[in-house]
Amino acid sequence: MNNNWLDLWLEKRTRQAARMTSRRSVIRGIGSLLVGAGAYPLLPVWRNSAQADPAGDADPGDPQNCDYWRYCAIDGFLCACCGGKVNTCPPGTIMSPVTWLGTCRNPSDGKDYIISYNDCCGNSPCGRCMCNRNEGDTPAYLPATSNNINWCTGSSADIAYNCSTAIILGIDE
Amino acid sequence: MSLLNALRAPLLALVSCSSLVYANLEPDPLFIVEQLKSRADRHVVTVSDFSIPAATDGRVHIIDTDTGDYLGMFSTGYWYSGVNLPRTENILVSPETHFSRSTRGERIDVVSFYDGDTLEFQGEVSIPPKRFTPVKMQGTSLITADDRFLVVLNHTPATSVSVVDFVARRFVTEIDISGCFNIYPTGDRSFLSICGDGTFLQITLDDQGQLSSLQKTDTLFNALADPLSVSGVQDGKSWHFISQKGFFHSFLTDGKQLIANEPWSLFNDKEREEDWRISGLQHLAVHQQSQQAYVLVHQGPPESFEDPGTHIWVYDLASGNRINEIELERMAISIAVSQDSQAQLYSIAANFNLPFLFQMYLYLMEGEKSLEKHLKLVLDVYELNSGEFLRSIDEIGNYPSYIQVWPATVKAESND
Repeated sequence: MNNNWLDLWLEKRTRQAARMTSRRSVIRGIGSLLVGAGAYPLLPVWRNSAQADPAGDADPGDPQNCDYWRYCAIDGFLCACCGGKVNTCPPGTIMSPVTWLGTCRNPSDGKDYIISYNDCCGNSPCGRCMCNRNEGDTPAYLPATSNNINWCTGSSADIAYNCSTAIILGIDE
Repeated sequence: MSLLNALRAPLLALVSCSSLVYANLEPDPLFIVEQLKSRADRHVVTVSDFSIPAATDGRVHIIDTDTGDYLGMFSTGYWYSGVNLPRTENILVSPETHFSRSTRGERIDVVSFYDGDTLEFQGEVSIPPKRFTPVKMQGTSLITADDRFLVVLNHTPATSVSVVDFVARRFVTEIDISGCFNIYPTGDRSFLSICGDGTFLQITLDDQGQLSSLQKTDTLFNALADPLSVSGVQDGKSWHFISQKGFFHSFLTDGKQLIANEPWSLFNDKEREEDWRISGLQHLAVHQQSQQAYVLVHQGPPESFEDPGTHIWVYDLASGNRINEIELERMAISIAVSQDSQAQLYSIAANFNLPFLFQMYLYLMEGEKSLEKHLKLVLDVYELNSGEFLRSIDEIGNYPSYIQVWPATVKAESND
């Protein structure tokens, strides 16, 4: 998973706490937090994050969530959170003509799709829904598949980067 | 005699004593501005910050890592990609982009010069408005070994470099490097550029900064199967790189030829099965005197090679053997080491500025996304030999990512 580092971090913090207390008491503490979770009124947040797919069965997932299948090779702010959609730019920006590609598997049909991550350009970075996943990402010297480049370069809005889309170009045969 | 009357005398004495202890302060002098102290016998680093999402507000932060004092900063414009630190002149040289209307209007690319004592802006040289704006800053500009020319990588998306004579402070020329990208200095008039076909361009300038020769090497690495990270480190006449799959590559240059040493693996079979791999953005450092390499690593799936690292593994460069490991206080995206005998190790690390139990509460109740909103990047300092954590410096901008050690200026060698 792209966010595996967070699990690792929690594991490390748990280990650090274990040095100060006993391992068993930490495990008990975590267990009681888990058990106690049901008593807190924040549970609807969990339900929201697990809500049904708004895009339909053929294109499953939430385009405002970094785990959405099309984002397998993205690095940037999600346009779907910035006033645009997964395949459109927010108002006041323009779409870059040159970009990088990823190949992502659609969990619904099991097929690999070629995704074009066109950047939207002309304003400051949106700052919402940062998403960094690097399946197939390459260094800048292999630019067609590199997400480490500001791809607003060469657009008529120049290098002012706002957010990134994820547009289906076709099926990878 | 009432109690109040009885206490009056000692109370009055106490009040008068207080006024003696706390005498009136003298008025402070006005308009005093600090200067940086000499960096001799001190550890000072610069941290370049591209300031995402406030990308118009790039910065260079200057920090004394012996005391943890934040010494100053300067502003560097839109989507910054790192400062250059000359060896023989006490200045900071900064390739920058500015727009006349924040994120629109005329784009102006310049190389700016800042005084190394006062951090005052000294002047600028205009360069073509083509400067490369990536996420990883290393290899985007360089100073030739004799501190004469600054070379800046361009991307339009065609690639080229701009050459600036920073002694004469004038733009010299633009050189096409199509098919190649990040640049690395190799000599007084020479530098490398890494290419998508697994070769390097070897570029030589003449004494005026014009192109003297441009030569492509044979294929020296498999760019498609296992590309080299752009986070290369210079070590005398060698450049060291690590590949995405965890192999250590060294290239020896004599200014004319580039010789590739046999790559060796950072991980044995068991460690590969356990998913150990490279981490972060600036993930390799070399302590030249001890000939030890420091590599930022973590456990995760193949696509996690930019995730923060949990450990630094230390290798002996001569044998390729792992000789030590440092478990980091906090997970890190960038590392660097100083080169002195009392060397320090630096990391830009992820810090959640919340009590641990509250962090656990947020993680369990609202998921990891809510926790990420509380993440701040800090500079952590360790003693290099022992790996002992020394101190942490927080509140260093928005997205600090590139650490460079800033040693004291040395006298220029005579050309006689």
